[in-house]
Amino acid sequence: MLLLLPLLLGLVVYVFQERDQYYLNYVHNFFSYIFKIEFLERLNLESRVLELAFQISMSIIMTLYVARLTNALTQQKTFGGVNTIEDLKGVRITSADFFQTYVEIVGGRFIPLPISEAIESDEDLVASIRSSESPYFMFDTLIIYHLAKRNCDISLAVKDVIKFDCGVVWASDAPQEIKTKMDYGLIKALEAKSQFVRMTEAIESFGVTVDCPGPDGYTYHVR
Amino acid sequence: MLYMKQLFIWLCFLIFLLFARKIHATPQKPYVLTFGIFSYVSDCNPNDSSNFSAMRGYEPTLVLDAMRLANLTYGVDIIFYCAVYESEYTVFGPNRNTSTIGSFGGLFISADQAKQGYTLSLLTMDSGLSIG
Repeated sequence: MLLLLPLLLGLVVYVFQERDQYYLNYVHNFFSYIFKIEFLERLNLESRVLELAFQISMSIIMTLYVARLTNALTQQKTFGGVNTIEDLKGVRITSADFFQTYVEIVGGRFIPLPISEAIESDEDLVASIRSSESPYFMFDTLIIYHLAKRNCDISLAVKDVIKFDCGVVWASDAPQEIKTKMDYGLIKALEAKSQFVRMTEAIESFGVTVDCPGPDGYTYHVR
Repeated sequence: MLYMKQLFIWLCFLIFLLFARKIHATPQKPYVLTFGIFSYVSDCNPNDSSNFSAMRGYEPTLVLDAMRLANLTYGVDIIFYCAVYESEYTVFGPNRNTSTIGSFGGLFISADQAKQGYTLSLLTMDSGLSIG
């Protein structure tokens, strides 16, 4: 609109003026309105009306642009504009009940995940997240990677706001011999092949279908 | 004297019950390790808990490798069961199966679990919670 309107009106004024003057001069003048105020002189009535219409339309366009930009910035501010952990303070974050403490640790406002007891698949989880109407959600990094690959409107905003280790949880009466042997085996197994290599192999073995573009930390086998 | 004899019999019976309960409650081989479905970390068929061919993912593979390196044999020393969180087969279930000695599959190593009487292995995976 900003490019076409000055061109069109410049040509129209050129026709109205009926002067022995190159038409690009008029087009140039209309384009110059965008960058500086330099009014044309000795215009006839029709040209002045057109010039006025052009100025009004430019005002409307610029006003709309500023209004929409302001709205977008306000919306971003309202929803947090999350880029770092610091941005999470006061932000509504949905998650499972057992992650409530972690949401509160990072300063977020915990919104319980709706129908969490009925979640049996990724599709159920995505539907539940959407129905919560929270702009953000907290889950295991790997799950967010997974969801983002299949749902293009989901992305990773802040990675690993809480770090933790996983392991085997033993019952109190588990034989000590087994626990000791397994600890030894785990050390040796991870020495032989790192977590990253193992995880990459695991993901590839699932034959993940990638629907959405975007870089991430894992490699995927694309069907 | 008769009372003493009866008391002795009851005492023996009580000791027998306690001993029998202890034997019954002690996990027996093959021990059971359970895991549930958790993204690429662990996957199985919940409708066929002992279907080994359906078990896959990062942690089952790692634990199997660890067993092999520790000279533990699958099927003899340990078997895997596919079990959703807090079902009777996991270590967390209120009616835990007596052979179940542990669970894995993206389970956090946390102080809470230690307080509840569970013991924890060395780490199988470092991970994190992210905001999406």
